[in-house]
Amino acid sequence: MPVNVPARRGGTGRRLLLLLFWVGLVLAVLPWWLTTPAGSLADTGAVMLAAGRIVGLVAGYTMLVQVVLMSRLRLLDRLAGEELMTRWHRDIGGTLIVAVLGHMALILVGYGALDGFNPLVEAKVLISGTPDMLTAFLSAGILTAVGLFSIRAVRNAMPYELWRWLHMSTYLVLYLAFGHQFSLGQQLFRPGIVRTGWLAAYVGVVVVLAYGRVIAPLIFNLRYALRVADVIAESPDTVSIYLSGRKLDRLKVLGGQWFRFRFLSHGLWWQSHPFSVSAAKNGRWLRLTIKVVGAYTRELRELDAGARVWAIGPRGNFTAAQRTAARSLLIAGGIGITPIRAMLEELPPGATLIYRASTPAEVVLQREIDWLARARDVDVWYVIGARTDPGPRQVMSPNGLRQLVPDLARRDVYLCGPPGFVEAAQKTVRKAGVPRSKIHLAAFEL
Amino acid sequence: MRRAVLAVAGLAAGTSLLVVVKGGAGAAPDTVAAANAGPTPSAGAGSPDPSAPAGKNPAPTPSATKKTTKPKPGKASTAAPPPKSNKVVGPRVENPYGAVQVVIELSGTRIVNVRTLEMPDLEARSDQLSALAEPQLRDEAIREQGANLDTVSGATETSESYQDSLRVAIERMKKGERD
Amino acid sequence: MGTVISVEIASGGSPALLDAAFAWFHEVDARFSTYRENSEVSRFDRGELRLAEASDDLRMVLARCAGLWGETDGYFDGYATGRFDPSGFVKGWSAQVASDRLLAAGATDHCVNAGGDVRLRGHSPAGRPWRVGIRHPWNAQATCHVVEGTDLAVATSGVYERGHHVVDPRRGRPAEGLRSVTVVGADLGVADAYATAALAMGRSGARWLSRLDGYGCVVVTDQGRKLSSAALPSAA
Repeated sequence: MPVNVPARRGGTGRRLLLLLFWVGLVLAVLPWWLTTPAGSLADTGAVMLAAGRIVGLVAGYTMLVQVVLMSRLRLLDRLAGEELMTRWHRDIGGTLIVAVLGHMALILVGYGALDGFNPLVEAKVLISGTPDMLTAFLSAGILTAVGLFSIRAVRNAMPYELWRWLHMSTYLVLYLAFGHQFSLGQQLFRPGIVRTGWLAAYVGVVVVLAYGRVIAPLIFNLRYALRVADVIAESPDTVSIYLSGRKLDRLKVLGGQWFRFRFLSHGLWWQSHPFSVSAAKNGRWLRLTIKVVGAYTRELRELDAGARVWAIGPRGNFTAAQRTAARSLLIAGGIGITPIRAMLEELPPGATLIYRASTPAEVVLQREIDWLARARDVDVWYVIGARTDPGPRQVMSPNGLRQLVPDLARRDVYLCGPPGFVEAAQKTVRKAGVPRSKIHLAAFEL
Repeated sequence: MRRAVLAVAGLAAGTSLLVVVKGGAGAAPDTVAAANAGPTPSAGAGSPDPSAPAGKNPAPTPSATKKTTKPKPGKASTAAPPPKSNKVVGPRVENPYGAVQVVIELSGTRIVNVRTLEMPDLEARSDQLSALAEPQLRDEAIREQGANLDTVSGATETSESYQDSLRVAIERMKKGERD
Repeated sequence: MGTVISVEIASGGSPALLDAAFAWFHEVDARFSTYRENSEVSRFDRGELRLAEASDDLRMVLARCAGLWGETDGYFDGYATGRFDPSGFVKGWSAQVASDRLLAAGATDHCVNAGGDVRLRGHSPAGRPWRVGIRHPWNAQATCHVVEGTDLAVATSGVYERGHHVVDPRRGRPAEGLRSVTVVGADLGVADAYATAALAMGRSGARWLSRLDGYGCVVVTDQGRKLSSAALPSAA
């Protein structure tokens, strides 16, 4: 087995992106500062307009940032990792909506004061009289709706695919808002370096989007042409799918990463689902190990060899490259063993694995894990039982963990499993003294 | 959630700060203490008196000749070597509607033309304003028009920014500077 | 103080008539200049002069200002600045009187321009109707509209730079929206007052002007739109 420990990836990429973000924000607002004469904000109306314009510039910039964060550009994934960028995307989302609505309100109040109308009448005047204002209002409305749909309670109440498609209407938001920015935006409507810069930014974002979401996946799939090679049952409810393809020795994927797979076979082609690879790259095949939980995964068991697979990835930061220390503690819950099993091949020797499963039958890939334990000097603890059973309860406590792994606080801790399990394990690990920066969570798309 | 609240608060605070700093007492252009702009070519009558408020016109004081006169070229003594170009550009003087910058065009040492370089910022939504006017009024974009005029209605050369820029341009011209 | 006056007589003129005209303007300045401490209007404003002791002209101007205050819904307000200041009417009125006197003395073709308020009668020396350009609000060297006529008053009130405001008497703050207002009609004093009032009204001034009987207008907004009455004797 090739020993292939990936190099460590530090935090410079993340810091660089953050720096770029703040620089961009300053550049977005700077033209307002430079073109507004000092002392010119003499009355409420002018003040409101000025504030509305600043907030508008911030909102426009943030909108572009949001789109770039989700562009799936490999470069960005290498710099900061997709999990982080998705988290940023979620965090910024609420602020963006507030900014857009604030911009609207301030401009309406400002122009209303100037014209002698209340903001609602001013809105009517603007919509009926000024081109691009109707689309701008629509854009704000759609963005607000998208925001409402993203509230966790609402999102959980609908199927994920439906939510994703609704969320895609943010592209429509961008398109509809574009017009008024360039025909009415105080800093943008006159030809000049500022207008050109913003146009270039839009073009750049579109290019990045097109590349990350369309061109790169196209190139990937045309190049590697993944197909189902074999489907093997690992246990009554777990199945491993082996994928073969062309030039797989060139496919760069780290243990712990995942793809979004679309199996192009009858009944399955209209859905895509994320799965981790359950073995490190070997140049011959990719393997997914999947637990059968519903109709879709049941169908996967019936896959014919030779079926084409469309894969988008590899994605994810849950890898040996994220480590900050020489030794790691890996805690896998149930099917969460999948990415961790792949990582075992790439982590430095001396790791410890705690494999939590409710029953012995749930344990999969055991022979491989035992083999790797010997080859890679990994301490493996199979902890079987329900959460409330004495054994698991004792192990999965701060003291229990420290007993099992005395130098816990100095290790990287990798957690993967069902959401509830990961949440509880994370709390336990924190209580046991592991700093947040050393805890790595596997997160599929959010 | 907490981060979102922080971000929104930061946005509000940042915007307020920018608006307050920009809106506060700004640098007003230096007022010219009753300095006459000197021999100025004007479309109307003779030498105008500066610092006349444009809005409420004060009681009239006759300070001009009895007929409309042609523009009078000004004289300047140049101690400097012969200038290469024939323009002097005055400084850009700001006022809240934009800025004014005066250019003196010379022929040799005579002022033959005084132009303004800048027009204050316009807003993009000029079209929308016409919706507020009466339909009986014709609405068009303003442009420069008019030839063979006998007189001009509207205060001339009372703009302080104009005079400030002009005064400095003339001083520079006298020193022999050219642009 | 600070107003340029020019009088051009195309026919029927004489040095004596010109002297008389300027003597009239001096008299108006002495009586109505708010910058002179001892002018009649200043003394009246301070209470040193009672109405009964005031000259006919001052009493007439007071009465006219009061009437205009009513006509313009308070937007022409002689007391807008706190002190009594009839300049928005007096400038045009004095030029109107000068023109009337010239006409009565036989100068049937003349053009009087007092600080931008113009009263013209008859034809220019070139033999055609007088052509009046309206100053371009942003470019002091250009005009943005031309009015021509043979018996016309043209009064323009403008804010050419932010330092000079027209106060909106209802809000007590500078009016916004209009950059320059030109009123064209028969009486220059009234036109002057209407132009001042419309400027103080801000954006709605254009609407108010368009509803006046007997007076046309050319209005330039802050945004660079020019609104003009269709019936104006305009020329290209």
